[in-house]
Amino acid sequence: MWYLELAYSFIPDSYIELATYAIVAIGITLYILSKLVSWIPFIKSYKLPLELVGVILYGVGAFYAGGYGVERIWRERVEQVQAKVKELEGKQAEVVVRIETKVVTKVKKVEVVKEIIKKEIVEKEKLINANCDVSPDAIEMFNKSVTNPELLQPVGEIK
Amino acid sequence: MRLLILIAVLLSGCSTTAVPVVMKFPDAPPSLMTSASDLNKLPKDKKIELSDIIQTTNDNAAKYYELKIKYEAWQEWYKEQKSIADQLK
Repeated sequence: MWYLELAYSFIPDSYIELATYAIVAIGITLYILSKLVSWIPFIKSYKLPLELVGVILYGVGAFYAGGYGVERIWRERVEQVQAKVKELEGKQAEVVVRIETKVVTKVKKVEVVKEIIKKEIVEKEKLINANCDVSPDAIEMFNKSVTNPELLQPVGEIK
Repeated sequence: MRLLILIAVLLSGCSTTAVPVVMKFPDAPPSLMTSASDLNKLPKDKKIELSDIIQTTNDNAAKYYELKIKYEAWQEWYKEQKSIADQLK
């Protein structure tokens, strides 16, 4: 219930634990007292109320103690999982940084190689172009081959 | 009525719930989030020579290798993030 969660959030854990055990202890004490008062004549009439209150308090205390025990186990489990999640999130971030560095380095190498080849082509331009005439059809075919196929007409219709 | 409220309060000891813990979805490396450019074409407004074709092919090859690197990086990112996420189970 929300009011109990609210109460738990304000009251220190040790107080709650102490209160539940205190209720159990009071319940047991009252029950034992109810058995003892039967020997004392003038308070004999309190036997039943004492016994009843004792049993109820014992039951309620045990219920709360059990409930709080489960709550504590859950909290410990949540803390463990939170710690694990924090550790794994750190690993995730490490992976991202490592892959990013790797990609940037590799792409830089590709760019360097591209520029080296580009320079070589410029240097040997006259040699490459000597006695070679490129037909307009070849240019058209080249451009078609590098065009995104999704933008081309269906294969059957390409002439 | 007061007795009912008292019973309700007394019997709600076990109803507190634990907050679920969720791991955030991992970020992708920024260089893998860029869009792929189209391949270069030969210009139609100038006389094309064989060196132009080789230059353009060189540029396109560089684009291919760049994408290959990124494609393999995505696969690596997925495998590693999956293995990290599996550790939480």
